[in-house]
Amino acid sequence: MKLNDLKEQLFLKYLHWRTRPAPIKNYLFKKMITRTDNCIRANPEKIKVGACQLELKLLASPLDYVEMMFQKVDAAAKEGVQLLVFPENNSFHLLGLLPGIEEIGSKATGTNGKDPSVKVADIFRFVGPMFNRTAETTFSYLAQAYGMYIMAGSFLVPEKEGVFNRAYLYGLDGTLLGTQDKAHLMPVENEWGLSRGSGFHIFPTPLGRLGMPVCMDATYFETFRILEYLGAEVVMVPIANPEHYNYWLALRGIWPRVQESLVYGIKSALVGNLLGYTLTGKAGIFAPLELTPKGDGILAEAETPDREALVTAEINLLALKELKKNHPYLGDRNDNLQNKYFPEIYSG
Amino acid sequence: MKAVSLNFSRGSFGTPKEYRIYLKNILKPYKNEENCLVVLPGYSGLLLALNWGNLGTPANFREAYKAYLGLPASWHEDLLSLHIQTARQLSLFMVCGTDILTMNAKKYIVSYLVSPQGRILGCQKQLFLSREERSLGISRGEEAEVFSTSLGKIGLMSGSDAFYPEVGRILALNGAEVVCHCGALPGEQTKIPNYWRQMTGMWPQVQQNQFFCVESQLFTTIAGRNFQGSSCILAPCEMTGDKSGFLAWGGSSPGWLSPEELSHEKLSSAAHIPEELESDGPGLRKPARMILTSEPLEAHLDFEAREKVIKNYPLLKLLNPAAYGPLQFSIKVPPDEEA
Repeated sequence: MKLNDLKEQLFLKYLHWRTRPAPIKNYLFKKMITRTDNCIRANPEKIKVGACQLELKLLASPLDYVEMMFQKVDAAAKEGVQLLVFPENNSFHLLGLLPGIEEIGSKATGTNGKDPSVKVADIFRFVGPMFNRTAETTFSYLAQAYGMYIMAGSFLVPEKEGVFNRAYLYGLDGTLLGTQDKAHLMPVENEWGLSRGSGFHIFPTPLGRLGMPVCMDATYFETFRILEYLGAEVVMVPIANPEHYNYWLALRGIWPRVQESLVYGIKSALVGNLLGYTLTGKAGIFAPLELTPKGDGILAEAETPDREALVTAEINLLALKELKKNHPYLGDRNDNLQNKYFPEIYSG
Repeated sequence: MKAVSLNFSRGSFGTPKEYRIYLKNILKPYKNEENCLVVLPGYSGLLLALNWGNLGTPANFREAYKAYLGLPASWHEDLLSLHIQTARQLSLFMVCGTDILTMNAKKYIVSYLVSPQGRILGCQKQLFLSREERSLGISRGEEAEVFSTSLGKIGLMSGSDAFYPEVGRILALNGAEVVCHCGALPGEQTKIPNYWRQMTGMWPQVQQNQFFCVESQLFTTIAGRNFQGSSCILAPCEMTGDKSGFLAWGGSSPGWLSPEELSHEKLSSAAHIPEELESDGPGLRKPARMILTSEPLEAHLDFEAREKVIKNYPLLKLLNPAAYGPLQFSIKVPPDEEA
């Protein structure tokens, strides 16, 4: 065995040991979390949802990560939140476990102006399982401990030949209710070597039928239309947008999609600076115009695009159902048009 | 290419002759201009029929619409002839607003694209209908065409089509570079501010398809119903300095205006909004100072700049058809949504 192979194996074993579930569970056990009764009786007319705006920080210990997520969930629980949504790439904080990540990272992302010699997908193929184990243990525990539905955000997950950007949803007993792979990749993610998902899913819960496409998926109407067809009522969109904030550019995502498809939308955002990228975005809770007090489609939105925040709002599924029945402009269908054009235009 | 949008706010059309004179006068600055496209607003046929006394004295908008649907085909042919003649006289490309076409006993809302030589280059039926239009027995078109012209590839949309992204996507993937929308948005039908309603229409279609849009929104009253949409000329966000995507914007609901902004001077001047936007703050933004409509509204469409934007950010190449199976065959609406 070559020395480098040995070093690699030893490091992986070390990382595996550092991210084992037992210390995470012990750590959270010591928090003496009291389970809330927020979700005991779900009233479809008053469902409290929350969206996290989280700052990306490189953390040197898995328990720092656990503490960070614990604090967000705890704050949301105190506000009566029943469904909490975390941002895209919500395991990137754990890159801090890798010694010299700043240097490796700039090679992997090409931020030094050169072609990346190591792709981001390569890094996550190597360490993703350990990072994800940490995140999965944390969110499963927190969902069960607080009695809260938690969309944990998305993580880069190696599977077969690919690395997918996958969102995770946990139920009240801590079980994984489902996952959703990002189906539309940003150009930079193509450069990173990620693979894209091949379908959209909904997850029925007492809080409504939930969907959770990831970030760029909300740029395309097809995503929300399919989820609408499948019966989605609430669509959660975790984002980690690598560009300086501009109101209009940010408006091209979830807001118009919510209006086109008549669903509630929850956007969570990862913000901050890492490896040459500046991430911005405002977490928010969106609804069809008619279901918002000012008629502007917004129930709640973070005040700044670059600092941490928790935004919450109540949504009303019965009002949504009523609106869908009576909307003055939406609700029409033209299947003949779609059947005539879609197979051809999408095959091209 | 120059794009021009009219909203009829400055017109008084008691007779066909007055209408012809209005078009001639207001479009005079563009006469014989090469590569100029003029778009008229939605419900133009209905407005003219009412103003010309062809609908009697209907009690309300719905009654007016019913009478309009009952007009003989010859009335609509005459209106089309008038527009063809005007386009030829002024030597301009023209999208003639909307009118009714009867085919096999079915009524369609249609818009026409006419060349400077007076040729009909295209006729597009409205593809998605509002609740009210459905209740009036109007039928949907089933084809979305892109018309090749010397200006470029042009698609047409009418009314509610703006709220259905399927239309823009079909046009874009069939090569549309410019989409013209003939709209008529009632100002007082619901409590929703027109600005937000309109922002759910053509603006998102432009941004997710990266074409230009020349949107003409009717700004007048028909049988007691006020139409107060804002005409605008749109481009991909990256083509405008503030990234707003608005090349030009005119018109607003008067309810948005402060008294000083309602001055005659402001009312009669055209508005370019981008410089007047509020600074970043919570919530969706609207232009800080809306200037009440004026016409014509115009902007230059830079096709080369658009190509560069698409090259840098090829949105349509990033589509993932492998994930769109459910769109390509009819999906049953869940049972509890059917009622």
